[in-house]
Formats: sequence, structure tokens, C-alpha cells
Amino acid sequence: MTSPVAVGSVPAGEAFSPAQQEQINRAIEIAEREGELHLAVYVGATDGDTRVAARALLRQIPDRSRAVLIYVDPARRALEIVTGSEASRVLDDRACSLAALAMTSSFVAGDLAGGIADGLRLLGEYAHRPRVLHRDEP
Amino acid sequence: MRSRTTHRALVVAATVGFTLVATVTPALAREQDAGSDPGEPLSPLGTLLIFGVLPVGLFLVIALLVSAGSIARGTRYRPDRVWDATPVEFGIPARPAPAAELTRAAGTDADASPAPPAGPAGPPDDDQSGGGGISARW
Repeated sequence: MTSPVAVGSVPAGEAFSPAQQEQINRAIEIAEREGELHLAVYVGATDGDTRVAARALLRQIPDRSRAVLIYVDPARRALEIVTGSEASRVLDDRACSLAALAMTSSFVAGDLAGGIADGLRLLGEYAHRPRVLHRDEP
Repeated sequence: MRSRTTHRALVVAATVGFTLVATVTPALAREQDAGSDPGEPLSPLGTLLIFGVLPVGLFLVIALLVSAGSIARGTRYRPDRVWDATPVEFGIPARPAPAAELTRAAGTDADASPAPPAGPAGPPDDDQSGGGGISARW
């Protein structure tokens, strides 16, 4: 499934080195490869409630029902993983919580890019699993 | 449970005490034994070199080796520092004002979304769009 949005279309600032951006882009690419999800990542400060901001940002994604947004606010040490209506059937909140746990443990150690890549990988792996079970093994 | 802990503490204390008493006698010797050859005493500079400069230098070398990886990777995020980098997005289409528009879009766009209550896994704290998601902090 190819996403209609070019991955990394917004130029990144000084938050990540080029190698780290490449790491995240590659993780998104791998996670989206077989699943029908569209994964997006936002890393930046928030003015108001991070939950509201993450929801609002999810609505800006064109295919938002199949979108999963990882919203990281390093200034407030907040992480939000929000899913669209279709995506929430593939990725339930338990899967998101597991990914969040892996991510925050990397964030605590100061590895922002590595944690995001880990979370993307976990979400992608979880999203692939039910598809294989139901379609390939009837 | 408590008695076992007490038992362990007593065993450790007894062992340490007995070992101390058993091995302290050579340190209390005030005269040289026959045939012992203590050699030349260390000069103050030599003492400082062996017991001061060498351990500190070894410590610095090991610390440098440990942190060389993160220095080369260029991780710029530290959990205890202020985050003032520009927001970074992956997989989200470019739009005029990323952060400022978010809270305003939350009110207007919610009515426009079709949002049938499709997902069976919709959490109760979610807003109108019928998706899922979690929050985490670190």
C-alpha cells in the first residue's frame, strides 16, 4: 500500500540528524509496507492539551481513518498515539500501549529517534499479524 | 519473610566480622618479620601518579569510550533539558501554520467528519471521530 503523502515532506529542523531522519523514514516505510495503515509522526512542542492537538493533527491527514499518528512532545515529555476509526480495528489500544511503553523507555534514555523507530516497528508488526492469520490460514 | 531477611543479615554481618578479625593481624604488625624486604618507599609524586593520575585517566578513557557512540550518533535530546527545536513531521502533508492551527481545527473539523461509530474498540475518552489511542508520559 503506497501512501498518498510523501514521507518526510516537511523539512526537519535541528531535532534530528539526517541519519536519524532516515532511520524514522525507513521505519515508517517498513511498517507501512504490507499493512493498510498510514503511519505518521509528529515531534514538537504543544501549546494546549497534547491529546487534543494530536487528534486535530490526525484530522489533517488525508486518509485519516486508516492513519496512525505518533505524537511526541519532548518539552512536556508527553506521548500520544492516536488512530483513525479503521486503524483502531487493526491496532487496538493494547497494541498502542505496548508500543508506547517501548518508546517511552527509549525516550527516558534520551534516544528520541530510536524510540520512535522502535514504536513504528512494533505498531507495524502488530498491524500485520491479524491480516496474515485470517487471510492466509482460513 | 522477615525472619529470613534477618537471618541473611546476621549471616552476612557474622561473615564480614569474622573475616575482618581473622585477616587484620598482619596489618597490626609493628615490626618487620625476619627476612622481609619492604623495598624503597614511594615518593609523593610516584604515589600521586599511581593512586591519583592513573585511576582518573582510566576513568576518563572508559567514560569516553562509553559515550563515543552517542557522540558519533549526534543524539541531541536529553530528558532533563529544554526542548526548543522546530517541530518535525513525518508522513503529514505540509500546511501553512503547523502548531497554531491545531487547536482551532479541533473545533471546526470535528463536525465535518462523517464518523459513524464504526470501531468496536473505540475508547470512551475519545472524541467524535471514532478512533482509538493512548497517552503516555516519561
